[in-house]
Amino acid sequence: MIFTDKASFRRVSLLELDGEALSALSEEMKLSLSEQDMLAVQAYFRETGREPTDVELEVIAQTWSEHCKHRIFSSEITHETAQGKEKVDGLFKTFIKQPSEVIFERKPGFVLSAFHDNAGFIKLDEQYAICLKVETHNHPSALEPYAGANTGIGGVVRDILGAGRGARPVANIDVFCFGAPNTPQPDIRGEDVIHPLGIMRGVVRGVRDYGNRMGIPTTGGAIQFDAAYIYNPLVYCGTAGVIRIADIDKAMSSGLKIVALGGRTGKDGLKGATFSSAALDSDSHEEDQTAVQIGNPIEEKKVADCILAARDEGLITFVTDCGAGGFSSAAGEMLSEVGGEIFLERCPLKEPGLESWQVFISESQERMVVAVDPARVERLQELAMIYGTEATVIGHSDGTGILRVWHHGELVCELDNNRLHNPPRQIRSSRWMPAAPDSSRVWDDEDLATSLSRLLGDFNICSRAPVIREYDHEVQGNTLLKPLAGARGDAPQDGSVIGIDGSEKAMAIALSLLPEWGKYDPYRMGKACVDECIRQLVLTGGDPDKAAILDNFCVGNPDDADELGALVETCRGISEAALAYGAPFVSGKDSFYNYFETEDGPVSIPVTCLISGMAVVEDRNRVTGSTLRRADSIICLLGEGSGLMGGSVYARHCGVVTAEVPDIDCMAALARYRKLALARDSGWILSAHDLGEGGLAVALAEMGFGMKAGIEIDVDQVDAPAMATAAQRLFEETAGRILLEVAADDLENLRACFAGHSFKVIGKAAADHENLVVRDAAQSCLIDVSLSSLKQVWKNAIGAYY
Amino acid sequence: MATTTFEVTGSMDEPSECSALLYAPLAEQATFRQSRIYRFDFQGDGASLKEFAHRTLVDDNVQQLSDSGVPALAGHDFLLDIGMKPGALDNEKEAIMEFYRSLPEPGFVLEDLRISRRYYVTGSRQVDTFVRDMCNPAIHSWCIG
Repeated sequence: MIFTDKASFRRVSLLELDGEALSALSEEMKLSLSEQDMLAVQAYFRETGREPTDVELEVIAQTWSEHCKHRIFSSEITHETAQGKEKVDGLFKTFIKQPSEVIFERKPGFVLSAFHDNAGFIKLDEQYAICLKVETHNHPSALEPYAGANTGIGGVVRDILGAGRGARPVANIDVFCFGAPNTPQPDIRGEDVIHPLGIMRGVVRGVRDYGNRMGIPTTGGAIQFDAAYIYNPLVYCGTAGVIRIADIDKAMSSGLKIVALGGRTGKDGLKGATFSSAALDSDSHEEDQTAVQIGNPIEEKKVADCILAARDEGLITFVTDCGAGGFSSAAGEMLSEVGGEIFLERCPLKEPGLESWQVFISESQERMVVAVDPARVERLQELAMIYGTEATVIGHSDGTGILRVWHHGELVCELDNNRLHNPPRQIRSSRWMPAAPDSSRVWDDEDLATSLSRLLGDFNICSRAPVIREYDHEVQGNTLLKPLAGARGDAPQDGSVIGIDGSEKAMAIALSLLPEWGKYDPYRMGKACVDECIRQLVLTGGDPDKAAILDNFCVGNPDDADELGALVETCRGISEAALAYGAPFVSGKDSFYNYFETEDGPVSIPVTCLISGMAVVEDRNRVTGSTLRRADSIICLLGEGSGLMGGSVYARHCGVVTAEVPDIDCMAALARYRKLALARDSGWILSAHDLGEGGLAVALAEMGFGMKAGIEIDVDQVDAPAMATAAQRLFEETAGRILLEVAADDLENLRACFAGHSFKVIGKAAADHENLVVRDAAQSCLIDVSLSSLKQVWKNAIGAYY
Repeated sequence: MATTTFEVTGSMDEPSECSALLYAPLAEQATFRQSRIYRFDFQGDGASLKEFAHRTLVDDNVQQLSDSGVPALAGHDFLLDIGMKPGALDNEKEAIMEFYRSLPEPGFVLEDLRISRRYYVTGSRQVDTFVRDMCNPAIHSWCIG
């Protein structure tokens, strides 16, 4: 086994430097600390009366990085809109934590843990809790897509293993934002930028190889395409887990052994946390190669099995993963209050020659850190041997409140944890002053069938089957609703449902992101994202009053007031919607500086907010798919349209960027969803599909792609403003709406159930043909096209490239 | 210290379309075949090393091992070898080294191992396009033959 043979560190002289010199030092050491931060560091060491070591500076840089401390979400922001200026006392505190705490009080005992552990837990039943965590791995995936996505999944799986005293990963979800796969090479204006098709292939295969090899089903996801993502692809990786409620609580105390479990430490992944908190440029591919980690799913599988076995034997007092910042972050988290000592010479290495700081902050993958009663260390090491991995005691907790790191007898790091975890607060300004939307356009369309076909072939709507088929959806044998289903197994579903071993109940998982909306109205985008996620959870079988959500933001340049303003508006939208739906945030993450300096100037991503959620499915027999089941059923539409086309794929096809984005009344929508859950649990719903991108027409086509029957509708029966044209009724994307397939015998029950809500019979399934037929009230035929031809367009759009 | 290179080819492999490797279609009709190259730096008995390589790397039902020192396949326009940069984790190398370390008396001392994928491209000479789309300077080193 390889270990270091001597301490290798240096003192860095900064006590006498001025602000400019401190900034230069930060840049030279790639610390990504601002002048204000460096001045705070200097003040701390002036108090201690000594110069810091390079280990201490690296630890502070990791700990204070945006990736680890979310400092922009904690900053004080002066936000300016047309209504005036207001102070936002921290985005997280104001828009995430406060509304969630209100909901916690409204629903006592539902959320069992939120915001302080690796993932938030909600109660499934009397014995079990479920959790969901989503992380981003954007910058590593831009540099090396396969390895970046691979380790993205590996990292979030470890988050679940480190949640509570070790949760069991039961499903993965993956959401990607790419440039279009047919982007012409000359349009890519940066050296060494990987083509979007290469990014997509690499990312998908990276996710596939980690999830499949660890034996975790990938059950859900989404892909968005936009030219802004060419330089900054977004890779969201999520994992759901389950744990016994009794295993959630964990607390550190003095006298525990700190054990490194799993893979060995190497130079791979150095400075990943600070790297991921900075913008990319063309030099990134050469300069930041050490920030690229490469995953080993088999090693992580061994660690996972060992953790779960150790948990079941009661060996684990506290556990967390080695993520960004490596041991410095894991040990820092564990010892943040109790204090303790770490001995770097005890850490097993992949290679000789590591300096002290490299051992401490390396982000080598597949490592966990466990706090164990000294009397139980031997048994943990026996288990590690059984599962083919390694458990090494690298330190202990001591009750001093100080983190001391030793290396071959030298004290290389001694930091007061209270100071370490309280970086200077940032003060920022933001602005949201959009142009007033233009409502004057008349949305005429002479060829609705062709427009529908074009929409179905749009990269943002077409089938993701070539990607989905790379993943194992069913390993572990608990996937009750898969991403593709229907009579032919290739029709899209609105979410996934996972059975939980040992429970009669199940877990619904869904997600939403609408970056196109955010370009024009981020506030309404935020509301719509929460709505779509909740709507999908209910559609698939979840209880609308037992849902929790996660917020994951990706933003371009937060130093730009307009881009930060879009984020503030998004946060306001999700906050209001979460409160209205009673769906608390239990976890979240952010990623900033997703902009790139191209040869033609900087390119930023639109503010991109992923809302993912989980809900309790009370009765697994009521899990509902999105595909037409019968040839003699009635098609109904729940919810009313607005006729507003802003943010829609149809508007983008028309080149319209000034249309108003639709709003949603979340309280009214929740009332509908509660009725829907009642109808579903009464057995009155055969299938249900949400109206999303492409609107009603696309939803109808997707519902018919199981090819059980044709579909006929009367577009004038759609609940929309009287002046709305057929194109508006068919292609608007107003949130809160659901297509329902019901048996004729149950129709009156449903009318009674939805009394007082917008509920319209708009058509029927047709046994005598396999077309999608749309007529108006005058019986004029607006669309009559075979579902099989539409399906071919829908299925082949990405397949031609992937 | 000696260096021996083994090339493993699939005996049932057929040429595949180069579109699977590239991000945009080539004007010409081009195909590729793929093999894997293992360069062992070692001391000791070369025959033991060859026996080790055969046992570790080859499935005799569908693969062949060559140590001739020349490319195992012919008739190509160019070949491209892509391996991991020193310092980048190579899981296959790690697995082979771990297996070697578990052997009580291997009969040789394995100093280092470098692995690369070899692509035999036929029907195109657009080497730069292949390098651009297949090689990532962040983690790969490559050479063209």
